[in-house]
Amino acid sequence: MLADTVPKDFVESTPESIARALPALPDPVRMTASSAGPRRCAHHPERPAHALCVSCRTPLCRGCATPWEGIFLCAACLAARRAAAVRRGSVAGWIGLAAGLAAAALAATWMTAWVAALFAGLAG
Amino acid sequence: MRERLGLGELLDDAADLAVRTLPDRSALAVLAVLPLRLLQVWFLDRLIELGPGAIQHGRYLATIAGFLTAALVPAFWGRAELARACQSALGGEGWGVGRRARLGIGWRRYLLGLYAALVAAALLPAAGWGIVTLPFLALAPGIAAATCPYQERPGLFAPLGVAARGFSQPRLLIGLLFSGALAVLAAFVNLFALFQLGLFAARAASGLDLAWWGRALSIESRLFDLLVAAGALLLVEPLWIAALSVLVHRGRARANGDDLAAWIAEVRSGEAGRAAA
Repeated sequence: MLADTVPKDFVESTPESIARALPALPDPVRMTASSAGPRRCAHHPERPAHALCVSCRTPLCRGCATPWEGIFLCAACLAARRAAAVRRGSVAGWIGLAAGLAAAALAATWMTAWVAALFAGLAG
Repeated sequence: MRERLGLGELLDDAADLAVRTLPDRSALAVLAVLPLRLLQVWFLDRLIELGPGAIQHGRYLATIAGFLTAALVPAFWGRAELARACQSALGGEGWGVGRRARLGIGWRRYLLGLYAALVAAALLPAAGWGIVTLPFLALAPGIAAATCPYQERPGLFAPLGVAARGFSQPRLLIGLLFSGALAVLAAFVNLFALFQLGLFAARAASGLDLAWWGRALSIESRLFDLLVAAGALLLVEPLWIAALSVLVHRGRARANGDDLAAWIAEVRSGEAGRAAA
């Protein structure tokens, strides 16, 4: 049943994601999927669908589907994920930097004091 | 066009930047670093005074070292502002043509650079034992300031990576180290001579008994020697930061092709000028 509705050149992002995506497709897409003809790209109706965006389940042509971490995404979902990743990385980076600043300040203080004292002891 | 940057050219550019183009930023850097240098004098004086017994006064020395670390915060700001101004002047932002310079390193870049400088400050005492490592780590605080305008990404390692790329021209850095050491020595001798000259003039003009001042300003006075050394370091500071900024800027321009782009633009503007004439 599933094999009948998916075009031959359709690239499955992951079997689970496609299986999840198909039953919940919006009405026009489901209609296209259940109809005899091949499904079309949501952005380029003249092009056949090549993949589904795993996030918003929009059918995409080869030009619109972008592989990201092993799954296909549309441009909008890709931008949202990348923005979220940058935000996560930035927050983690600042937390790491704050910890690093505190540790470096403590290390600088104690290293200066103890190494200088040790050096003075040896020189004396 | 792409011949190597020479030490003489580097020092010329640095002197031009620090003294002629950006005197206000140089003064700001000196003022910002002044508390750090005075605290270093205090720390060293106490350390020499305590001598072999210093190891039993670890907490006392750690308290002064804590002040030293705190003083690094404004000192690094002054250095970073000078480095930023140097970067802008070298990048052709028209710093020296009457446009008012703005205080603009930005708190993000400042924090990233400060982190690199603090790591260097933590490693520096440990490197004091190594004759080979010490000169390179002595460069690290200046390199941290010179690379500060190029800091972008927060994290534990990214700021250190940006600072580490400042060490990409070891031949010039070694030359700069020798030049810096000579400059500090020359500044020390000149400052010392200036104080002695002042003392001699005061004695001659007033006829007062300045025996106490004579002892305080003599070479035997440890505190005076340390203060003059700090003064010499302060005088050289803007030149040092400017030289490292030029080195970092030219190194990056060479790495990403900005120097070639500037040269092509210059050639084209020259051709256009000739055609118009």
